[in-house]
Amino acid sequence: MGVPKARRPGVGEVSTGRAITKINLGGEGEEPSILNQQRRAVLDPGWRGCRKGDTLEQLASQGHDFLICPNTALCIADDSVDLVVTNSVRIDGLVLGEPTVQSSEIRRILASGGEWVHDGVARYTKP
Amino acid sequence: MTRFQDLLAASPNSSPSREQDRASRELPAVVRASRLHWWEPSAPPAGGTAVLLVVAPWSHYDLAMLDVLDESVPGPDRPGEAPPVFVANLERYRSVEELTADIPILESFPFQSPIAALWRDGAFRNVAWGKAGRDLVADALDLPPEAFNEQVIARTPRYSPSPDRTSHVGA
Repeated sequence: MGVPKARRPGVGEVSTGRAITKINLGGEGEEPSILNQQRRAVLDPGWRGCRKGDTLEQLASQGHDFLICPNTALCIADDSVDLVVTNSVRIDGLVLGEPTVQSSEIRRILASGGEWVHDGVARYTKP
Repeated sequence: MTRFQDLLAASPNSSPSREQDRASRELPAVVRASRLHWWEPSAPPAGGTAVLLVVAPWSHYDLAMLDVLDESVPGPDRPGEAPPVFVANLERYRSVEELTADIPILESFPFQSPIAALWRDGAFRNVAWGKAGRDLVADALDLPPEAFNEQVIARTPRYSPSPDRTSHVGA
């Protein structure tokens, strides 16, 4: 019998195999124990977090997990997430030519009854 | 005082993107009503020292910073006690090339706002962005940078799972 192959992460899962139930789009670890989503730009060595100027490596070493994918195509399954958090990020816009967090993607990934909280205020509950 | 953060007040029958659009439109008027100054690239300060802050009007970090500065900088009755602080809207720039045209010393991509630039005797002398940008403006105004940053972060709203967060604003 061979060694079982590691299961590839499915859509809506992180590499640990855990299902994504809460996500902070554009997050930098400011919400404890919530997975953070960032664009590939976070991998640039010059990237720094907004709050304290931490590098991605520093944030990861503090225990923060990151999912890296485009804002326009979150690699998360439809109707699968219970909580989407966004803090101080542009919604449905462009920043220096780059598309920002999309409300259509938030509505797509939220499960029925799931909630979008923007800047600390609940803004949408999916029917 | 939260005149800048109030720009992003959530309202029923609106949406975060519409509120951010409104904040972007209203930012110049709120700056002009404050102790800060609106930046006109065609008419920069002739001499002396000034600070330019290019801010994201959707960012509570940036708007909270402007509120703290508005409370900290000397009023018009104390001219010359601190360098004037000018504000510009990041949304006026459609690309980093447009931003660099206004701030030529910006050499790396600004991954975060604010973009802070120190103007001295007719030219930009120093630039930084994000937390380092807040440090730059704090240094220029002789404010303790870490305390300044902590003040900004403390005013920035976050998700709270506590039962207190019961408000639900539509759309």
